Amino acid sequence: MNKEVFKYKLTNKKYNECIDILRKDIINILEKKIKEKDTFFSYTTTMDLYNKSKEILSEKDVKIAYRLYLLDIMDEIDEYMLDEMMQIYHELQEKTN
Amino acid sequence: MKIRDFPSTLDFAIRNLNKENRNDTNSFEFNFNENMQKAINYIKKIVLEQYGTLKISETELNQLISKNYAKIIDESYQNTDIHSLTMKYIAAKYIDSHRNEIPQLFKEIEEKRLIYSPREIYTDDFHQNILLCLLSLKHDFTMYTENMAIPNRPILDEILNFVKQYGEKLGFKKYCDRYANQKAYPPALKRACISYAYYTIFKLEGIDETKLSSKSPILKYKKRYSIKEYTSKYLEILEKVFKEELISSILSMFTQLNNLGEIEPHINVHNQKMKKIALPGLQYFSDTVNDDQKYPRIEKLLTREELNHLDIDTLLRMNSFYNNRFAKVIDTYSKALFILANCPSTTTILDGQSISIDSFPKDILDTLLLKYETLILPIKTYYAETQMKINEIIINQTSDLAKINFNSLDNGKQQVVLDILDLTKPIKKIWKREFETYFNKKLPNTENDLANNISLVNTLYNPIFLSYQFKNNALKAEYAYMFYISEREKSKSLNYGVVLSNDLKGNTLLLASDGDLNLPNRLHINKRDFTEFILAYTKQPLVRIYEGFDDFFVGNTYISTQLLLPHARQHKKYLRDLRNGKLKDKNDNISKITDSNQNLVDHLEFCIDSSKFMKSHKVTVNSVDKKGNPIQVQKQPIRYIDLTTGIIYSLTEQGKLVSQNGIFFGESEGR
Repeated sequence: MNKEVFKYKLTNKKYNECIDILRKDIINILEKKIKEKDTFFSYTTTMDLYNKSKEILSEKDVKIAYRLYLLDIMDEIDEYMLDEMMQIYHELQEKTN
Repeated sequence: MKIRDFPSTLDFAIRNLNKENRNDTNSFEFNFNENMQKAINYIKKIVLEQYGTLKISETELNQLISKNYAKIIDESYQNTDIHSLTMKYIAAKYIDSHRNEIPQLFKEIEEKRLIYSPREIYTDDFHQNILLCLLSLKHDFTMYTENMAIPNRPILDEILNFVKQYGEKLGFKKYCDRYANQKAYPPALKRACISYAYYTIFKLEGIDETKLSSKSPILKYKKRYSIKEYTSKYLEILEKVFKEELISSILSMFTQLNNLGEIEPHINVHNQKMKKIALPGLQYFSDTVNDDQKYPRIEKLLTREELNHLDIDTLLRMNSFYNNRFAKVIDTYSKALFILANCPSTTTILDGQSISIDSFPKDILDTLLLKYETLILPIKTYYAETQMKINEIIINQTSDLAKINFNSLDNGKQQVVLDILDLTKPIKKIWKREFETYFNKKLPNTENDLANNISLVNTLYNPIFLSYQFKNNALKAEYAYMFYISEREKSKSLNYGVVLSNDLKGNTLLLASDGDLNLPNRLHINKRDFTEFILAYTKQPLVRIYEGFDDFFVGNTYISTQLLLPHARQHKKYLRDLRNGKLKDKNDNISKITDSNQNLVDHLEFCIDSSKFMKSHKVTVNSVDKKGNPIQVQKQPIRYIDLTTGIIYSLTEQGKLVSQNGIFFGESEGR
């Protein structure tokens, strides 16, 4: 993720674009983890990602995929979405590091 | 369930309310007089119906509110999940168009099923048949991938890949080789795929007779016809059932809205706008509005007989429109009823003493709205999670119904019974006494017990959740069906899709579609949710663009769809006479086609007859005539937008997608 771009968008209150950046990054990280075990996998939807993660990934990652999918189906305000996305991203980064 | 602490939930509730009202203060707009009066009139009506008097106790009143809400919940269930029925219908149409290939396949698969066991060694032939069968069921299959958790993703890949090459009838062996790869597709997964295929096929073909009632028309046809004939008969029956469901659903919602007094104001707004833009002949009248009988009467347009003449796509359009209206009305009533339930003297209000804004000081009203919104947040999460669990149970066909109880309704549907303790326990644990302390201080005269408040908001939110879900599903079903028609019936001139507006840059989409109705159906949907659906359904994020949205801006008046109705004979004649300068009625002398309303008239004529052009949106393309000579013809453009990148494509004569210059939205800075 280009942190400068993210920061710029955040300070300019472009929350929706920040959500999209984080969402893409979270998906990329999870997709990469799945691909390590199943090279045939390719991402289509977050629901699919969640299902695949149940077969392959650790419980913590499954929970992250689950929360990501829930956010997609819940019609929430941008601030709430962003806060939740940042939490998910943070947890994922912590785990990866 | 993940619950936020109380202060941050409160903070989000404030932001949510501010956003709804598009301001940055903590004073929330709520059209108090209008909304409360409506809610009170409604309650008065049901109290009178039930008790014959308005003098009832607080307890009786509260019971009545919750009982009546239970009625609305049941009513919402009557609306049916049109989405799954649409997908089933599309699948049946698809199968019908391939019916010459199907009987043999069904036979072979049935034979294999008899010898099938978990240790079965899969043969290439068998895979081929499964694949082809699933291909036929593509649309029904994607319904599950969209709606539910799917354990058989690889098969979906196979089908979709196969579909790409279907025209050449090639590639069986290649796919089967890949499928036979043990590492990629372990046996357990294959078993799941195949049992799923059986489930889908048998459900559709009606082989599992034990699950059918002896009176089922399917059984009748199954006995009388061969499989080949059966598929077309099945389609016939399904279409009848589907139409009936749609019509009943539309009429039930319309009647309810009319009873709540929610139709009349919309007729008035529509009539005023039509007069303003010099098209007074497009007005309506109803029992309660506008006694000028030369206009079409609403009640006559919305009858079972009238609706029976309409196509499935038109009915789907009306269904999503009224679902949306219904959801919005319930949303407003829920807020109003919550305020009333928190009012210490509701019975006095009912007793005839008028209600005014003075009975509720602004700060009290704001705090009540805040309380409602704060409780909605965890309830929303709980509902989304429950929905997901139900989906998993359905797709995996598991008997693990732990924590979810179903209640069978009279109409044969299953209603989910939620245990309120599942909801209150975790909230109480995280919020402790913070909720009560905060609201006791701000609202000393109302009951602020957390468990009771959650229970009330849960009752009020349930029908809202259902109606919005039905609305979203109905809208997706409408799009899916339009997509199917545009794929199969290429000669038909269709105008549907996403509107290129500023909304598209945010997290909502405006979907619109024209058809055999007075005005287009224009509704918003969550962008991410819709993108997920499109990806599952078509496997690419491309969505058709709706043309001619600006036609509805006449001068500074935006012609919104106040009511979606079938074309009235009088309106058709009026537009025809207006176009030909043959209006005879003296009162019609203010009717005229002007520079500002010309595009609108064009567009409305397109809605009546899709072979006509919306003149403002035609393009000239090079083509050849019957003799092969180059000519120039005028066409309505077909454009698509990629929902993930914002790139716009147009469809060429050769059926290719060419990207246009410019991106409608997307990341630009720093990339």
